[in-house]
Amino acid sequence: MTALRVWITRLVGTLTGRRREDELREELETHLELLADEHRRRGLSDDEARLAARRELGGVDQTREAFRETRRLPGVDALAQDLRFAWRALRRDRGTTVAAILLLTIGVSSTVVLADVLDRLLLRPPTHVDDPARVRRLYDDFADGDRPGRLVSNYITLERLAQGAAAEIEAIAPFFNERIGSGRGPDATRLEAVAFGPAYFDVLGLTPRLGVLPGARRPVDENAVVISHALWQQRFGGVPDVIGKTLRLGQRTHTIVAVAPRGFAGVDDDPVDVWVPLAARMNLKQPDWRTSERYGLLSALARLRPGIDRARAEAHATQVYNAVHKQQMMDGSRPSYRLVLGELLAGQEPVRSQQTTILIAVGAVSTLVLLMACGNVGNLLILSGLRRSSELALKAAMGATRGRLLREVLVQALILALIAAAGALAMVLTAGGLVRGVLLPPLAATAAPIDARLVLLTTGICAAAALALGLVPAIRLSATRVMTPGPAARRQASSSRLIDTFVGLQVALSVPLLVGTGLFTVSLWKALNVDFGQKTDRVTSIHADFADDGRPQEEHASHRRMQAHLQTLPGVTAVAMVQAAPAVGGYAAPVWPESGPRNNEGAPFVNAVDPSYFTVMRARLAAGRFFTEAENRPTARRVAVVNEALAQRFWPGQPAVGRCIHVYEGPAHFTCTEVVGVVARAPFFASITLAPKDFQPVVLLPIERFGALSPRRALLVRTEATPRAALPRLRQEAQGAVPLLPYVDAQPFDQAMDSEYRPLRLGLSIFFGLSALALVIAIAGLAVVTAHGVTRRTREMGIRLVLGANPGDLVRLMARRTIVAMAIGLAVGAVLAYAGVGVLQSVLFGVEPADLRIFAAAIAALFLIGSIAAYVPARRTGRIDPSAALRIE
Amino acid sequence: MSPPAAEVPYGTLDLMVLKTLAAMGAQHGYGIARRIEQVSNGALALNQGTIYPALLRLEQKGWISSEFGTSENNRRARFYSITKAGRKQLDTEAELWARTVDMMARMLEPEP
Repeated sequence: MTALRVWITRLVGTLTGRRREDELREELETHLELLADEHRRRGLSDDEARLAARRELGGVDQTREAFRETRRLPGVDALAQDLRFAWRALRRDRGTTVAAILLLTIGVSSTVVLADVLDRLLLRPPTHVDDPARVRRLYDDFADGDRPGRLVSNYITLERLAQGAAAEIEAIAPFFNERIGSGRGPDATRLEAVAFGPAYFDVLGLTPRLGVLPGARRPVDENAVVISHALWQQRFGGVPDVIGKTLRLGQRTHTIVAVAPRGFAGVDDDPVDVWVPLAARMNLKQPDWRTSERYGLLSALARLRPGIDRARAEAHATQVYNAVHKQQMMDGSRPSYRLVLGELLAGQEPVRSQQTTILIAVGAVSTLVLLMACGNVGNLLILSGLRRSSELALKAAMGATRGRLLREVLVQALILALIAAAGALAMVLTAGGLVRGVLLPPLAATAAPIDARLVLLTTGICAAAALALGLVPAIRLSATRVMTPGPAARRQASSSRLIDTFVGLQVALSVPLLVGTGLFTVSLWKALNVDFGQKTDRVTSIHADFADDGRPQEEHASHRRMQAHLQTLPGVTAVAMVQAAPAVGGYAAPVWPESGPRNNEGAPFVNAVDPSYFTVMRARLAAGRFFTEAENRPTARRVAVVNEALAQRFWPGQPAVGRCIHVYEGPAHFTCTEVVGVVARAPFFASITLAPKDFQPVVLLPIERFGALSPRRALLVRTEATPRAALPRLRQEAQGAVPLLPYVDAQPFDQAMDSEYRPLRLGLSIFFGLSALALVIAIAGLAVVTAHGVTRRTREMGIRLVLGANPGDLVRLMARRTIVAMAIGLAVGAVLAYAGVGVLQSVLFGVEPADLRIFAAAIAALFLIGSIAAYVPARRTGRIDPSAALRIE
Repeated sequence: MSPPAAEVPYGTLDLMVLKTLAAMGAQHGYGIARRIEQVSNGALALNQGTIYPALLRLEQKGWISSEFGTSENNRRARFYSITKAGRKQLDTEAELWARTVDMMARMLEPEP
């Protein structure tokens, strides 16, 4: 207890100023005066009295020194001196210092930013969710499968499941995500919605910001709505009396009952604006939704009872699920399922998404950049140390212990690391947000800006880096004794070996990064150039949801009017009205060949379209012709265009043009529809993972002749610009084309493909970014090391020049050492990369991870760049003035 | 001839200071030094400056406390006084010291 007290007062003493020491001076003066007075009383003269007093008190300076030492923590003064020395050394070598700090900052921040991304994706629980470990998302898979996906089921099955598994599961909450238009006309917006089952908020255990959240025991009528904190702020100005106000969603008006807590925006990728009772949305879509087992679109969350083992709950729930669900396969059999009570968050799903796989690989790879930066900084420290070797030798000669010298270099590394840590944190706070924006889906659930773990991690990494960096050069340099030619030369030689090792290491670590960049470049290029028989990268899909707005009968005419307006816009090449499109979805319908079995198996996708569809899509004919405007009339002869997959299925190996198909238009209504053309490939849902032979069969029909097949309408617009550039204006023009339109949705036709390109783009951009950093670091390293070699051997080179050496040979000699180190590094790096690329196997497209050409290209590029980096500073050797060189001491 | 004045044995200065403060009440550094010299009756050569680190040490341990006051010659001086914890410590140390002295005395008794 006393020891602790002493330590604390000493710590305070160390940190607080010198007041107490000033007071001591005063105390000592008083003491001297009193002593002198005493002596004066005994009859001594003034001077004699003062002298005697001084003698009795003893050395004032020693007393003050002893007092100081007692007052403060031991070792602090020595540390302060170390700091001063280190700071002075760092300032003197300003170039090296700035370079080292920049390198470390780059290395540490790249690691920390990616660690932050991975943390949000994989580790952080969703914010605001109560006891998140008990909240699970339901996934299912066939009993023998190994790729569970999110469960999609119907209400009655989920209700039976909840009843059957009630011993382990407190509640199951069915829900689905939906985008709902709000309002009409120019001010119409679209909101991201969750339609929630009664127990939804019970399962999540949220505390509302305002109002009362609905629950199984706090039921609400179907006109209730819960809004997000963000929507409350934006749409309602954050007023406290928002409860009871109304919000129009589609054709209904909802009353706000609660505001979600700040920062909670659902448990899915897109931030949710509103939560609407399930009944409100389902009643519109499927009136018998509570009892029907026909089809379902409901996902589910569950809350485990406290203390229940997840595996046990899963086993029982699986049993119950298999007993209650009545879904049948096409052949009438009932498959056996496995239920998984998986993680809530997207990044933690039972089957890792490609994006997560890439991010994990990249997170690991980013540490390579950190290692490279450390290697380079280590080199810089050694070089700056070598330049100071005579100073160190002098210090050693004057009695500085080896430990003291070691500490000085370590402190130097530590200062660098601390500054770099501050820089890295600043990067994470600023650039980190940007990087997250690129790398992550919006991740509504874990959007908090920064947490303590990140700060700890950054400082931890920096401290470790400082230790690693400081220790090797410190040991090397502190071995300095008195400068004698022999040991000094040996020391230089061993330092050079260390420097070469660092150079090799940097080059080696760059190889995997460059190989990764190459692999993703090739993958993305191949993915973007897959031949779908159509070119849709300049097509935008536009759709206004009249059904949800309560006036489905206006959908056709309004889309025609939008089409007429859009066609007049500059930059718009063609517009086609269709029944099925990315914004709307598609449907499969019974279609049979004229002769042949009439079964439902793999029903073709059917789309009714304008003839301009073929222009918009840049469709390619494999046989026959497209249908014409004349055939696009309600009374025209029935004609169809099919794709190769359908032709192949119905009439394998035979011509399709001129054949008859039957399109189901209602009971007892089978009439011949003549196939007039076959389009190449043309899948309905394009996917780079599908081989052309696996494309779905597609039937394309004239929309005015087959308008009754579906009430849904959308427009496909071909523009000269990319959808990204054209989309905002297209949407605005479409919204204004007809008065009081519901919200007009516009999205790139290829949006769905985005999820396939995205991992590749992601991989490419990260690997490219890291490679660029790595190259900068490696080039700097190679150049610095060669330049140092030139400076160190200037005298030797001068002598060689005097003796008649060819300057060109000397330049090569100087560059050679660096280049040899680099070549060894390249070989090691190739092995490293070969060992590591396997991780990417599952995300690459159309290229083998161990592609020899890519490896060769990466190594050649590095060798070329590295040679230039070594050669440029080496050229200085050729320009050495022999007479000047010989004057160097 | 009186025996030469001895150095202060290591570790005893703290005890002397505590005892002085316990006996005399609040004192400044000079007063404490004078008192120790008087009590030792010239047997102790005290370098008076050394009591200041000792006073700080005792204060850090919480055995004495200090405050500013005015000395006899009208100067500002720091006055030290013993705390409750200090008195307890003094008792413990004094007993330990007595036992040590007793033991040493018996050790050094001339052989019969």
